[in-house]
Amino acid sequence: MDLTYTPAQQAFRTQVRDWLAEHVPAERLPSFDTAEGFEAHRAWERTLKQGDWGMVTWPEAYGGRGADLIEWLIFEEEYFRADAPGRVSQNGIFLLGPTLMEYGTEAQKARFLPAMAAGDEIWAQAWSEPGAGSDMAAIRTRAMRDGDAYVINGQKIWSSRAVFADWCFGLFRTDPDSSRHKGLSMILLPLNSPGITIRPIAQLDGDPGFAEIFFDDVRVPAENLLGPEHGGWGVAMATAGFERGLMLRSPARFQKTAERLVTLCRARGANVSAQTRALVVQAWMDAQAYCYSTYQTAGKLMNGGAVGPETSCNKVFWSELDRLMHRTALSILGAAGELDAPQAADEARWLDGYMFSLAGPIYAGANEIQRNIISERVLGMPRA
Amino acid sequence: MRFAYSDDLGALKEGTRAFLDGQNPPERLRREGGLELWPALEDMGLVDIAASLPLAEAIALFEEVGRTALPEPLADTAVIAAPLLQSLGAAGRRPQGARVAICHADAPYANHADTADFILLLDAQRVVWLARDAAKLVSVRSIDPWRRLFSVTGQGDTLAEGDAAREACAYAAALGATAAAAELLGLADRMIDLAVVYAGTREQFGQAIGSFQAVKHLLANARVKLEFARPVVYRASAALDSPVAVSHAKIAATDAALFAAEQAIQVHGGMGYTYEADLHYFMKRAWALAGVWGSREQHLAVVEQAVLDGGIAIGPHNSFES
Repeated sequence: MDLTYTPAQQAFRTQVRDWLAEHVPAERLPSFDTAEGFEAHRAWERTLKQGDWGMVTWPEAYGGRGADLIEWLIFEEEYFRADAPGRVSQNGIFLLGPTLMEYGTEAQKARFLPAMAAGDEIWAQAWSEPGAGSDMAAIRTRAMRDGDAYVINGQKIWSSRAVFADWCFGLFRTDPDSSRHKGLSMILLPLNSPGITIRPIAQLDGDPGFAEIFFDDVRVPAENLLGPEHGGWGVAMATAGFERGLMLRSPARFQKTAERLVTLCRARGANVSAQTRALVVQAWMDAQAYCYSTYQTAGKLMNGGAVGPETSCNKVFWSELDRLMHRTALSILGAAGELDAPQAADEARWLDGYMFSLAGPIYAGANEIQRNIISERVLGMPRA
Repeated sequence: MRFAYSDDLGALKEGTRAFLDGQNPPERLRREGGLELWPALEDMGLVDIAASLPLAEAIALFEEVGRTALPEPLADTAVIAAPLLQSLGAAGRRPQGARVAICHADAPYANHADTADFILLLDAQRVVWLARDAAKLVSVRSIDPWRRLFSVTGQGDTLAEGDAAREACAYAAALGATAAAAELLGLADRMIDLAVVYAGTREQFGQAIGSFQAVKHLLANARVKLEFARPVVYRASAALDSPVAVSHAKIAATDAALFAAEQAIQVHGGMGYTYEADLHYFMKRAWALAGVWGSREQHLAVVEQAVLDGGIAIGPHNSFES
């Protein structure tokens, strides 16, 4: 155990902090679930790229800076400290990127990763279907091989920001005679392909952050297959591992929310009950616990270890923590909590954040599914 | 920055687990006899473990001790008294292998004082070293059949007074709370295991009850709590001079263990409420350790004051500042 940062790590932190202080927009950007906000966030991604901060852990050849996981954690800590804009490219950089690193051909990596890190191509995920949500193996949308192309027919849903994004990575049934987990493939395709229709779905906050994607004889070059044909389930599980594991939600995000909650609690002083103060302290402790856990996982990976199904614990923990923190803030705020002005004062961000926190236990695999994974694959309990 | 113990500790933990699983199985707990494992613990190097391992790692090893609810009060001697005597320049007072019972404001009853060689009496004014023969012991019953508690009085040698005593008292509290937290992690893990095994064999409606989601999710929740208590305890073991880190660890481990106990007894159904199922030995140890070395309330006050009254730097850029 060595819980101090090396001089090089401290210098890295200073470098990140200084750059962010100079470049983070003074005003909060509009929500990236709107057309205007999406483009504003894309512009921010390009600014990040100019500083070579697009995806710090990636190799330089793919638009990164070859940072290790501790440096990544430091970057994230400074990023949230600076209240920098949310990552509109998150589905690409945090989920598809690592999957490409593992399963992509050299040509695919060279083609897709640098544009992803630069914000030039923003990715949406096309996995869920109306009949395949938690039961993802029920996917029916087909991608049939026809010469040097796949022809896709069917429908995807809950695809975040697909209305605005450039590409999607989808899971399709490539073997028509297969069922369940077998016969699926991961395919990458541009969202402006002929035959694609995208219909926005207004989210809880009214923004068109979700979409349905309809595929009507959409032709995709066969070279856009990621990983083995009919082996897409394994590829998707690797992606889901990144999603639930380290990348999607770094601890800094929750430490920042906990800090805001503590600040709010302090400002309201004697008006906050002992019971609520205890919840605020619990929130701070849990955010710290998630931080220590992530440093521990980083240490394990850097020592050549691997992470397994226990990453499902992460997703349950942070999503319920996030909901608790926002609910606690709202109980302190009273009437001010209702105000809908996401660009205004900190007070007005809590209800917006609370709404999003309600999605946390649902997206990236509902928490009930995570609990099934924990009980069956971590604890070894019998399958139903 | 390296949040990981050495490979050596990993191997030692495995060895200790195998040893304790063999020597201290539930059948032994059920016999409710004496502390006959002391010589074997000494042979294993566990009684003087603080002399051969960094203290943080020695404390982490107590997760394995908790896992089998070891009756011998190993922590009191190995990771509380030994480092404490060392810090007072009084290591020579304790012959190698000698057992020490402890009496402290946060742990007022000395566990197994009747078979200890020495007793350490600590308060903020004075640290006293007492041979067992010179102590007057009055027995107090614990709910845990393996904890033999005594209130202690007697005249001994003063090892520290004034500021030095206050510091020693605080150091003992940090060591005690962190070691108890490590044991609580092991207890939580074991109680989850016992419930998993029970749910895998007990059948209702024609199938193992462990195949029902309602049962699975109780234990999945317990596992999540444990998963995020462990790194907090590891952190504290390497930051004993941070009262916030230590208090956080005691709270997190207590919550994980008490929650695991509640889920485990529920999964055991009526059997969980009997003296016949092994679970109660682990639950009772968890309840005992939840209370000693600082109540949850006491530790929460430490964290609350630091966090809400501005005593520590918080925020994402201050991950290890508390």
